[in-house]
Amino acid sequence: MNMKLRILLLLIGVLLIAGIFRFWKLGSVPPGLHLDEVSEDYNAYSLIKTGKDRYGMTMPIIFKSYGSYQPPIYTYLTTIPVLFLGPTALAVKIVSAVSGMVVVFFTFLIIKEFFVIRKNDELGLLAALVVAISPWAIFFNRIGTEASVGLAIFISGFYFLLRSTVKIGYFLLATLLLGLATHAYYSERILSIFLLGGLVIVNWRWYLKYKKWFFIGLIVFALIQLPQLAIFKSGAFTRRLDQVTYFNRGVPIIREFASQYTEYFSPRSLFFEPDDQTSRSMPDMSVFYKWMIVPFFFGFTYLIKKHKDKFVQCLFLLMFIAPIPAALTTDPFYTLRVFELLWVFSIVISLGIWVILLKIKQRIFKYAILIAIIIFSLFSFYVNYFVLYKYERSDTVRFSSLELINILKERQNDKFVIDLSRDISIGVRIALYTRYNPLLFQKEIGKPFLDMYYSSVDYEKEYKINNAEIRPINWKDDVYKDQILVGDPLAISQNQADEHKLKLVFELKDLSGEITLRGYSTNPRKKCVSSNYQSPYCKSL
Amino acid sequence: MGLGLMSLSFFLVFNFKIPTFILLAVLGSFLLKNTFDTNLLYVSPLEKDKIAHRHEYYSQGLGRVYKNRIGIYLNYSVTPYISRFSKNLAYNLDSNLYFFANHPRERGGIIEFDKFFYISLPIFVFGLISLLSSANVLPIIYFAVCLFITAFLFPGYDLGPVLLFPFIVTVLYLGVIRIFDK
Repeated sequence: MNMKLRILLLLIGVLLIAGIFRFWKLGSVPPGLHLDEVSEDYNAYSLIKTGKDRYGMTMPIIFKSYGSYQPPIYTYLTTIPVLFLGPTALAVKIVSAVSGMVVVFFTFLIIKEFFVIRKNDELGLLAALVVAISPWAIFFNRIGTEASVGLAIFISGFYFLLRSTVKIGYFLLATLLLGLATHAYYSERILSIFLLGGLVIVNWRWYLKYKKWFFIGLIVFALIQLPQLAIFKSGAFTRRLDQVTYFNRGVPIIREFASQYTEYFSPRSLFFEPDDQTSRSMPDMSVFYKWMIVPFFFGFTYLIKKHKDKFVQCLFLLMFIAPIPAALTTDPFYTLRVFELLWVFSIVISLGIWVILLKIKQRIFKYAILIAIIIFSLFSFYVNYFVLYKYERSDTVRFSSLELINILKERQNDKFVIDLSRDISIGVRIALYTRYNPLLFQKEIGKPFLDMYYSSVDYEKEYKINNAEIRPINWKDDVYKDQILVGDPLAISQNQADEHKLKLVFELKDLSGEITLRGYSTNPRKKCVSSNYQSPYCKSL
Repeated sequence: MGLGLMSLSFFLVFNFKIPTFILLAVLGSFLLKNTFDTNLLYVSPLEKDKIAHRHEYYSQGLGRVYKNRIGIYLNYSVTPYISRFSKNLAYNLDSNLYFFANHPRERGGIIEFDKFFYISLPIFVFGLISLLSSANVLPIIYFAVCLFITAFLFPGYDLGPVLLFPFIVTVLYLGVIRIFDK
């Protein structure tokens, strides 16, 4: 068979594997949406219907969301699937899944075109395959997260930046993409500048030859930053960093930075233990499969030996700068913030596999081992994600809120008070699933926050959607009104239910069988009779 | 123990293969006898509950692939022990355990402390690069063997994974040599 055709078919095979694990049951596993996905989905819906986000802001530079801000590109891109599919779970995840496919494709191109060895096509395929099957990549490509699109834009920018060292015209495209990446996710704001600077320093003689192109490229990059400069002093631009950094917490900064930085290179965090936050990890599975530690070691050894090659130096540069944004924050091993590092490590692992396979003489053994590894990896991912994660972590995507919405629809004549103490997104979630008119949302809920959109992080904490009031339960008054109180077992305990004469109406469980929400109807008459406190509401009964 | 570890470090730094492994065998046996992690063979009631729940999830999610002798045996009799062993293995592989008192992923119920000064970490990195680019396999074999032995030891004991200290000393030595050579 023609060599090029063979490579093309194999590439299609890799993309097919990547596609199956990214798109299969995308709308139903995980069985719900994360808080940020809810915000992105409803904002995209609002943009389509009104041209404004849920607070009524026209084309925001950065989206206000539950006391923080979301980088804008993901939400703007989500308007496309939302336009065709409506504001569904599938629609908000598609951009992330497609971004994953883009990363797999560009990984192939980067290794194929720039790596030092012969038979680059095969190594390119192997690198693309490792990215395609790596747990971190599949897991986060199935969540509507800005970091996925950030990585896709960044890696494509990296590719064109590398190409610009051969043909200078690509420098404009590279700066355009790296500039856009700063609007895609927080880490890229720092990484894009560092990568651009680092690569220019490594290839300074080349760029000196094409000063005109170089300066035009820099102007393109600077122009794309203008919207961010416009909000630089408002507080919105640095809000996230203020929330997550340790600079103002009285810890020894150098030691803290060094410990956070090295944690991202720790085999314990990379191969053995999942991310501490349950919503960002699978049970019993880290960002890479355990077996990958062996090729990781071989790949690293190989790279060190080839350290004089310019592309290898670029990989080391990326490896060096990639953990910096994450190391500035307090969270230990925050996977979302180090996608670029995990991408480089995926290449190191693929290189290690390639080195190991080279040592095996017989071709049949080589392919048998490779196929066995792929099947074993994908099977263990299936077990950990489609079985364990689905059941054990369904509370992280608020599975029970889907059933709550059905109850709200069925009991339209009842009044509800829904506690938001532990799910601040519950109101927007209801608005999203019921396709609540964004114009009404903007007018009734969003308006007070519009004037200080970029300068204040206040957000909606007491509001009404259809027959439901979304707010913390007010025990002084709520129990004297005829309504249904909804909350998790911490919001409404059994003692409180007994004391306030509440009657259990429904219990909602997550997929693991744990009760996550309870609805109680109040009994104002009984409560008035039993209580020493004479509520004004008792008089009207 | 201290003297033994110092001697081991010396043998490893100067590439004395036979004394290294003899001393490692002695110290390893001593540690295995005195600080063996009995939790490796014990499944707590909480874990049993988790396994029972998982039995249900696997049955629903995997069907016949799980509901057979092998699948059930793996869930009840293999996975809990392998999982505990790999956890122990992972603790010892974390560089932050040695240089940052396991910060920022400290373990509950265990007193964590710095085993080496954190400012020596850059030297360690240089040493590691030097080791990986050289043909010196003794420290690597030593590391692999010690890692395996240490995974059987109780991860919370006061001294920590002491058998791995000579390896770190050797890598630091290689780092110093590399820096001064340049």
